[in-house]
Amino acid sequence: MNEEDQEERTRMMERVALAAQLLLLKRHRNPGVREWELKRVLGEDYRAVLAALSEKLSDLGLEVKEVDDGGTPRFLVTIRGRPPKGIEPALAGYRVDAVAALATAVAFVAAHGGKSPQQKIEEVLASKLSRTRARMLLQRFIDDGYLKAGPSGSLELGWRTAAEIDLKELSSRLISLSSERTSGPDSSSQPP
Amino acid sequence: MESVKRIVDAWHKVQSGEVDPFSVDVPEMLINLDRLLPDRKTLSELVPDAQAINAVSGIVGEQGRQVDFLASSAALTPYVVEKAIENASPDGLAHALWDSVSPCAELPQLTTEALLYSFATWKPPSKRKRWRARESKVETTSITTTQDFTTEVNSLVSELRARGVVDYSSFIKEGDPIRRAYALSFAITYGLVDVKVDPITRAISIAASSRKLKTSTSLVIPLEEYEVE
Repeated sequence: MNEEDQEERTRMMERVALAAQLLLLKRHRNPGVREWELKRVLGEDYRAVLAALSEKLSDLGLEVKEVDDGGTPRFLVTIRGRPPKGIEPALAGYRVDAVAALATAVAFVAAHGGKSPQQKIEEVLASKLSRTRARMLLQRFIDDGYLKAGPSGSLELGWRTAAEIDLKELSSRLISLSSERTSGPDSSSQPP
Repeated sequence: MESVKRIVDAWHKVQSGEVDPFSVDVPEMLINLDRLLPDRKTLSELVPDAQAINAVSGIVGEQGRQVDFLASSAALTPYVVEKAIENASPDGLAHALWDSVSPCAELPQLTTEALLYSFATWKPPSKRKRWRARESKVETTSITTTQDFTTEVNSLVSELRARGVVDYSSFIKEGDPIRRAYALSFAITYGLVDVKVDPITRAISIAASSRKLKTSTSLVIPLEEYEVE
């Protein structure tokens, strides 16, 4: 490797380190960095830097993801695969009941083709929580990017749902949840 | 005119998610519009027609979006979701989501600059100068590990245990008052130190406690009394 290549490599590694700091250090309320910020700091070929960073992060079980946030790309680092087993669910600092409410809201919107009136979701959540808490949690999910307000009072799935939640996996988990109770106790109590 | 209004209403309902775009009969709408269009001549008649065409194209667009969404994501139906919500406990639902996520990785950061800025913002404007004067001291503060800090708290408690009842003010002045007061506040919260305030003289006395019950005591400490090194 000649001196020029060595220099180029060092420069690239510096940019990869800079990209890691940008993406990993929490600087705003929500995780991730927008495209314009990456372009400004890393230059026009920021995608090449992110690809190199993603490769390095894969050794640590992390990956760089790109999601659509209101028509512009947002880049963030997520865990590669699933979180470790045996850890209590505490997504984005939510309590268990809030995580359950998020599962319900996301699944409800997904089941209705990715869009549903806010009032309907509120009603579904209010069947498990108080109306005030349901409203408060929905607002929090919107603020945190899991849901987004669509036209005419509807709610859609947000950029963070696209980044973090595997809807196919969630649907299979919910299908097994819905069938467990309906087939489980009844079938076991039936005579052979 | 009525059918045009119905088409626009249907579009609004689809847009808000109240109605499934596939439940709307688009071909029939187009046939109706096709039948009505030749009779329309004036601008006031043609504008609602254009709105209706826009509504129909919006509904078709929404159908396309839904097909894309369903093809790329979930096989969930409203019935399955309703059943799951009805049957599962909050814990079960939370675990279902937890098993389907790849959470974002983030590192919270707190810099000396941010701390100083917070100090300056927290204090009333008249006292901000004092904090600014202390900036150089704070800047040199290094990070203390939990283990080191626990040792520091325990040594304060042992010191108090050996001395019995001591005046708070004189106790913390024996060294860096801010540091000793800070460590002492943890000992008080952990229930390792008892605090008594004389209701007449307002003198604060402290003594080692053996109860080890967590307490929530608040003390007003006039910082002006203590000389910061």
